[in-house]
Amino acid sequence: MGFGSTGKILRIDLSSGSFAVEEFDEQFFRKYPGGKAFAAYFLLKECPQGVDPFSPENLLILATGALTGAPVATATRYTAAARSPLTGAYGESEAGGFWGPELKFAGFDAIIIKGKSPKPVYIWIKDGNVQIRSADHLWGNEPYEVQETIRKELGDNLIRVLQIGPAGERLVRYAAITNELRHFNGRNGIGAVMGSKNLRAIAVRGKTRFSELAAEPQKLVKLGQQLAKEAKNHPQSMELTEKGTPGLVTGLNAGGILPTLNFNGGSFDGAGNINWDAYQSILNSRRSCYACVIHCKREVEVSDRYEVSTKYGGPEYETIAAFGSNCGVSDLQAVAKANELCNLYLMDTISVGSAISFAMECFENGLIGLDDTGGIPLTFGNVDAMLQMVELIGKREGFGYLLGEGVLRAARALGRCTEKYAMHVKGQELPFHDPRGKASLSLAYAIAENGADHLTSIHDPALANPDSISFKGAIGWGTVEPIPARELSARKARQYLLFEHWSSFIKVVGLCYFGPAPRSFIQVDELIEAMRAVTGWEVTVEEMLEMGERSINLSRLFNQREGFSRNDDNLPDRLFHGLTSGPLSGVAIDPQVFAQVMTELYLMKGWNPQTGMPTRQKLMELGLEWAADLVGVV
Amino acid sequence: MQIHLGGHLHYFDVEKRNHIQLEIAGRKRLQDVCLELGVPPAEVALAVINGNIVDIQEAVVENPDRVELFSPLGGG
Repeated sequence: MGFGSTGKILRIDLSSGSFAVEEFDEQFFRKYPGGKAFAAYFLLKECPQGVDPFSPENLLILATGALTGAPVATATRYTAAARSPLTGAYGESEAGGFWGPELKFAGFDAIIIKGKSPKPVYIWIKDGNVQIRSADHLWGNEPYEVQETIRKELGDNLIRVLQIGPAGERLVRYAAITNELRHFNGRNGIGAVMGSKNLRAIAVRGKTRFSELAAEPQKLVKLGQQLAKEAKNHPQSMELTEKGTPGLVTGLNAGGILPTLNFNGGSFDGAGNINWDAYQSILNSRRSCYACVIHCKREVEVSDRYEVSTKYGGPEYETIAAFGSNCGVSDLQAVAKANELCNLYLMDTISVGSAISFAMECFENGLIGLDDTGGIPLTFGNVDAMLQMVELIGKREGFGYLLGEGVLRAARALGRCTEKYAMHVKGQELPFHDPRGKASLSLAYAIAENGADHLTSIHDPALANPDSISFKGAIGWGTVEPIPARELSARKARQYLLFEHWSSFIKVVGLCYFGPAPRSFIQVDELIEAMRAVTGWEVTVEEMLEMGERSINLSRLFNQREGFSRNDDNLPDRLFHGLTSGPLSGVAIDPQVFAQVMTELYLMKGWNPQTGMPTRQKLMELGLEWAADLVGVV
Repeated sequence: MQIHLGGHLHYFDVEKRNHIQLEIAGRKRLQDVCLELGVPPAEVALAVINGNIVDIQEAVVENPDRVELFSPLGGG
């Protein structure tokens, strides 16, 4: 098409087994350039109000962005979206890997799936041709076997397979989706929605080359080569190459914000056993996503206290904190095993770890007992108990059935004042960056439409020093000022908002969080150049940020229609109390300051601070009059 | 003195070391130690001496201190 897009959406109705191709024009695509924008647009427009997330009427959307598949490092990602079975809100999760680019090469920018197949199926897409095939023989099997079987029966080892696992089949509310067994749409339970449709996998293969889709392919190739060189020589991307996200453990622990024992503390005595130095003892290799030179993915191998193969990748930082410090576990081999089990059943490691640490704290305080847990002593640090629970959640058996509902539902079912230990926002478990040490994350966790999310903006330390590389990389995006990491204020809200739009934009166009400055190496002028070479549009920083802002407002309207309000933009009470360990002991978020800054943030967004919802004026500014009318914003 | 260059700070060390064993004479400003190692103080978002968070602009070190320095701890 010439603007980085195929211009085609594949629509599939699994109830009838039918499909259709819808084309869209460049004007539509410039306003909604894929990814998160497609997800929010189609969920708002086509998902029936009040739909049960597990009903056939819920939509499952898989959408690449304008840059997905470009020969530029970190341009690999796609969005998976649905009404979330975990939160009941707008649900979204991004992943890298190889599947997104291959979908585009196979002829489609996005797939919108509705209905429910009467029997298990998988979808096979090759160069614009679509088949819905039986998955009777795949259902219940391990992801590795499923991928191998599909490739074998279709006769092509280079087929890219996206799939759910046994947890998605059993509707664990935080079930994940994977592609290539190592890249995950982990959050919000989109894998459970896929399972509810009896859809096990989507296999794709295509011959289209990105040069056929780009406005200026030669310029793009040259830029891609230049960026590849820069990625190898930039401190921020080089760190990701060497250590990946596991490199965060030591610093967060030293800074007193490594979530410990279900977010009670900020420093963990056993951190030295789960940090990057320790990780090197289980490291097997480094892997990458499509066309990315960073190689931030790790593969691990263990043959000692546990057996862990390289098949399902290695634990990221979030997983290490989830099953390590936050469960009181200082055995990295056990963390690697928990990671492997989650990736085998296909569940979000953040939510699984958080569900178990929640149960551990309930058990330690006598709110639940062996009668509840099926005889498993769920004390902090009990490695065997932790691993047993991961298996039970994946199988939806015993106490694992309840924990597979997420911490909010589990706490409400248990009663007994357990909800105070449920660390969630809108029902989604907290990621493992503590807002008591990174203040803007209090705003991020509270306000994100999809529940607590650590990738909606730039973390505070990156913008604290005006002479740092990250701060300098931020300047091109707008007005920034150095603000201490723990300051929570109106000026912090303004800065958060700028990079909330930045983060949303990169999800719209299919870039990775580890690509652009200020988080990493691609400077703003280089990104503009890439956007222009791909799309042919004379985009500006302002337009790119507006693409991000528009998508946020659409997803907000989805939540408004489902009855969400400002009351849902809150934090677990624990964060308003002091950390109990580490150098920041006693540090808490002031609830009154938090409420005041949230009010300021709504006003900055052009939203009503009473309801927490967009005003008509803001929606008109963003060209969303149709959405205002649809939801009844007057 | 043991120095840990956390995050991307090891990028600035000629040998790209994460851990450095260093002997210094007497007491020295931490900023000066960073500069001698090639680490720009502006890249140090968190400085810890013997388990205590310190202000890099004011801190002084001596043997056998255990020093941990970290670049901004981002998300991911």
